[in-house]
Amino acid sequence: MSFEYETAPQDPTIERGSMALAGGTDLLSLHKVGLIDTQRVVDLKTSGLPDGIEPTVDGWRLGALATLSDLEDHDDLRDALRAITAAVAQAATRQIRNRATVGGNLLQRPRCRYYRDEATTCWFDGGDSCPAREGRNEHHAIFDTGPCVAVQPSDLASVLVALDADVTTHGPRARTIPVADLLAAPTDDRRALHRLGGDEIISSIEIAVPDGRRSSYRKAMDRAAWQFALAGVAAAVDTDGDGVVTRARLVASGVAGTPWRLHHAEDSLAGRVLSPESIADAGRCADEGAKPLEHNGYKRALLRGLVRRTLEDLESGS
Amino acid sequence: MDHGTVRDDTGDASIALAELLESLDPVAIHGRGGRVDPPDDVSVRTFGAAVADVVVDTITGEIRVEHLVVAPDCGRIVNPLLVESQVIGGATQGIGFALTEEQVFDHGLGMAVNADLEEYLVPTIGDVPPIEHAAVDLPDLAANALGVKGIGEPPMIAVPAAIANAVHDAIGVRFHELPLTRRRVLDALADARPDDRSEGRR
Repeated sequence: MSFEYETAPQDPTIERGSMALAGGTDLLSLHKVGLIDTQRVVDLKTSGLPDGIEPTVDGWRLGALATLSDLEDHDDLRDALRAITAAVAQAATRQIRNRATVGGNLLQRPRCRYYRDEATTCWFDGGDSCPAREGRNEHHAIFDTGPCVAVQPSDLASVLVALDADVTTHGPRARTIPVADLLAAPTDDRRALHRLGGDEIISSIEIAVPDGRRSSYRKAMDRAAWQFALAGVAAAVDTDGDGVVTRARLVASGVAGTPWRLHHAEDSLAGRVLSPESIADAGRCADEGAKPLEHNGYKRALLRGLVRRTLEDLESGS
Repeated sequence: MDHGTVRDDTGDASIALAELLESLDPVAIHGRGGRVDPPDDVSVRTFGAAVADVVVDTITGEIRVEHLVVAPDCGRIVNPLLVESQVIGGATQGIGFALTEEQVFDHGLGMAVNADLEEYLVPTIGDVPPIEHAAVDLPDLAANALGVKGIGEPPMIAVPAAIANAVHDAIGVRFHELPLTRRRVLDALADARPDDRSEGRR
């Protein structure tokens, strides 16, 4: 199968039978193994959709076409939202980050090797069952949300959920919804990691940042760089004048089909000051509710450890 | 020949190599050689040593090699630059052997799970610490007349053992399987200390 390549005009639309292209870091690899069947790809880089990183009245707006490198290199953004810089700087490689866009990063397909193996059919690809559930599932979900055990691959997504960020779409049905609502584990009727319609295009991300918010992101890999997260933890914590936590978000990557809120750990911090004791308590309950598969029980301990290390970043102010 | 000076058999006459070559007309020099049979009265072996300094985060399973010292034996060193490159490359492969590289198969489906360089993890530059190295330059005249031996794989061999021993020294756990992934480290620590969730960095 081949497809045609078109550059998008201003005010782009995605017709039936077409697919949007932004960074294009995964398009050909998916096409080669038969997971993309489209007549046409429409390159959004010519569309004039936002590619900037701009301060707003109460926070930041990230253009959907901004690259991960643009985010990584933005000094003011780093000062305001450490977690974003930390997440994008640990994604893939610099060469890939130079191409990969914010919008595309949120809409990544699963990295599950069973899904991507040409000779294997799986539930996510329209089949009946999930071979990873009984297979080599070292890298799969421990919070089991459905028939598919692949994880949401984005690091940035967890940070955006921790920041209560919104996503705005372009077009006649333009809407603004929380990133936490855009991303969702797949269902029988919607075998995707998100709820975006085929004709919808992400235009920007909006993040409100209250004064005094601190954030961080920690990622565990089996080498220093260039691996999708075995697990990652995004933390965003607001405190009052006495240092007492008024709002805490802890969101994990690599453990579920969607960025996974660690509610027990969040609740354990409410009304307390970040201290070695409160951080240890949050770590202890971070894996509450996990149901690991045969080969990924280590992710429970990993999650507990990452929650501690991420909160320690905030305590020490680094 | 010694430090660029060529002497005759008796050692009485000498000339600088550059001078000797300048005085020659363009000339083709032919050499002839061959591989001699290995000795049958001794078994030729190479030896090597490696020392690793590692940091293990016992709550996240992260292992960082901070420093690596290797001293492999290759007999007489003929080309120091080439030997140095081989030693650095071999030690780096040893880090991959110890920490990141593994072929994963699903035996039920007969499927190679990580059959590409995105999923089969070779070490990145961030995984490789400064490597201090000294090939020991001991001519092994029992091996052959030049006293040379191979340097291709030997620098790799001792490194995983050194790293695994350093990890044992740090956290008290012996590993019998490589690589030392987060999964293996955290599973081993959970087995070693099932009730202890309060450990820190070591």
